[in-house]
Amino acid sequence: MSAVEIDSICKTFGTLRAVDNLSLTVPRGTVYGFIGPNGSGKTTTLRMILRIIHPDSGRIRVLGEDATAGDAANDRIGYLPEERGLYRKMLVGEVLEFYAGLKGLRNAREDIRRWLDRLQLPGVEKKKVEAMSKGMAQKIQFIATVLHRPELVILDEPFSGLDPVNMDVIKDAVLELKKNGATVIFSTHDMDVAEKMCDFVFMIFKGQKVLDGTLESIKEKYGADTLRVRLDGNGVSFHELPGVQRVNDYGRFQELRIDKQADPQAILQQLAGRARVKHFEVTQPSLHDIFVRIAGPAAQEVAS
Amino acid sequence: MSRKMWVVARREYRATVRTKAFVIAIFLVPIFMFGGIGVQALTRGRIDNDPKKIAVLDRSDRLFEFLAEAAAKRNAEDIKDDSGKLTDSPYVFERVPVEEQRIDAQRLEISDRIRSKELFAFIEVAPEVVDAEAKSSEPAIRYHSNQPTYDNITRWLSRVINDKVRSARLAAAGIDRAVVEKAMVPVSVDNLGLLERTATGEIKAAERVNRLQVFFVPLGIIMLMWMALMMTTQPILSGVIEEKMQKISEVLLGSIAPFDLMMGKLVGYVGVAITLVGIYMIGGWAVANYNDMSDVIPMHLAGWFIVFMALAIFMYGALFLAAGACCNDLKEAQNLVMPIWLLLLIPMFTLGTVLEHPTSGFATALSLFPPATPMVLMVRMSMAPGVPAWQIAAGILGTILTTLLFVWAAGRVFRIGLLMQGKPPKPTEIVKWVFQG
Repeated sequence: MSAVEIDSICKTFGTLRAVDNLSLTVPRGTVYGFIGPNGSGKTTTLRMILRIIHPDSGRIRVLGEDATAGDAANDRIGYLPEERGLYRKMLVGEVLEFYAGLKGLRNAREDIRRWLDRLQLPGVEKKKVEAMSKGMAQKIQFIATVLHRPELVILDEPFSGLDPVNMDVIKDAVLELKKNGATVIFSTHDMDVAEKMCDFVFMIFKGQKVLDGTLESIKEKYGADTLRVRLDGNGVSFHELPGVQRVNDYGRFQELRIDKQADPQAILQQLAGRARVKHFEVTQPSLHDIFVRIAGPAAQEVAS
Repeated sequence: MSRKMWVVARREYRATVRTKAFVIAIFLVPIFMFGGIGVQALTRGRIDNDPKKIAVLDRSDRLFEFLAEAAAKRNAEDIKDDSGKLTDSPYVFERVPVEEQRIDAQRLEISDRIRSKELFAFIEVAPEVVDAEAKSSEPAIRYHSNQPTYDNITRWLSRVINDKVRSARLAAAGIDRAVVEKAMVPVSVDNLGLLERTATGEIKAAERVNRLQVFFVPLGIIMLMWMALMMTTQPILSGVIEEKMQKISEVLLGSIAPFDLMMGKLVGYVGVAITLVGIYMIGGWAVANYNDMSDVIPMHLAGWFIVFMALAIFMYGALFLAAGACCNDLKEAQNLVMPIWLLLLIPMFTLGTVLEHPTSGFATALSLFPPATPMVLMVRMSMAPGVPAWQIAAGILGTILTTLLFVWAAGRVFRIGLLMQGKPPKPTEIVKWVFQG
């Protein structure tokens, strides 16, 4: 049985079609990444899974329950909103107990202490939320999300605004949830994170599903059409090379997207004639690149 | 009721009662209400006891000696406490010889002396002040000063001079003052309740109406109800806006149904109000008891008060919750809650009329108009002749039905508003949400 089954749902706000005929299946025990530009329908989809709002049409089943109607909130789900969702004037311990209580968990004090220690926040129970830094608050929010041991964890932008150390702490915690059998859905703008952590990646754009599958299957579709190049010195005009469609300049290295028919060897020869080649790699496009291809300005122009 | 609702109620209660604002307000409100009286009582006779020098232009030539004498008597006897300390300013009169030819110039000279602080004030006595027949349109005594708000001297003068003039006029007419005084002793009109038959069959004498009870008890009840509403609706409004802005409502709605969330909040705030009112009731009773006036406090109405207060908080709290859910900050919300405030103020505007005519058709109708029922019916219940049982029943029923309607409608707006971003909806949109859900 799947954790989430979405069958052709639609949701319209006024004249805006936020989610358009979307279907999706999230298998249990997986980490599912939701990506897509701002305002493309990610949060709306997550809220429908959470039963905070209902689709206009279509069906959603979450952990085997019909989630299309009613608002009996599900205690088997944990949800972390996109921004902080904590009462600023309350003590950290109290907020966490309150959220645990809302999920039907009593006597959570011991669990709270364990989680705070785990996420390197020992002894903050008696401090006010407003005294927490952004990273600390995010970790506290994370604890509030998982305290009641949910079977399905939904995280909206869990890594935004975290430094690498805190990011690793949360990442490890997420992976441990998965190891313990939970299903994790998270949305992110960080393609690197999505590539590294997600078993499946789902991309929504203008309310419609544009990518869905394992990272491998997605990249497979695009093929090895990318060259990653590092040269000694500057001044090479990559656009003049045969078969190069697009250049992505990262400063220290460049990514070139080439035509399907183009020959990487020919391009390498050309490059070698113009500068010292320090690195040359034929590779699949990164998720970042795929994202930009779908939702970038160029794609937008074609679409409209 | 769901268990989660109680979790929310508990949090709202603790979050509100433990704020400094709540604790401060408990002490501050009585200070606002009674502080003015207290400051006056404390400072009386301590602020300004300097001698007041007053010039007298006695054009009748008959009053100065008397005034000087009366002032001397007052200075010696009336303005000292037991330890001989001054409690008020002594008055010192100075005669200014009248020069009728240049009376205006004289007046100006004295005015200038007052401006230069040499004198405090001056009085001018009209020529025919004691003459009973004189029907001059001119005032008999003119008091001039630079401090028109200080009216102690005018009040004293008026008393002393009138007494003197009355005696003089009576004497001139050949009437004995003692006879007149005896004739003028007023007959008192006593304000009493009705007689009733006691359980043992005897006729119980009517009780004398206690002014304190008649006016202050209804006033106290309405103030207490008003305060309970003030001190709960404000946190309700700011609380729901905080939850919306901090994205807390998203987490809450992912854990609890919107209606339960709203009910939890309202129950929490009823708890807050009961705490507040409880403190004042016990405090008021203790003060009354200490002063041997505990029968003034209508403790038998406490139960009704709590019932009506709870209904009022549910009714109005739901509206404030819905309004808060539609807004992004307090400023926006203040506009939206204006009409609710007007509704809340109806009982305040009409209080005078209701107190004077508690059984009038107007008062009865108003007390059965649900948004006003909790305050107006409560006030009428605290006054003689009381309220017939059917009106209490109708009032409660109407209020419960209206409360249910408000809570239901507010719940629908609450749910949609909480997740909405951007500019607040127009009233027509809010009405649409109510009916479309």
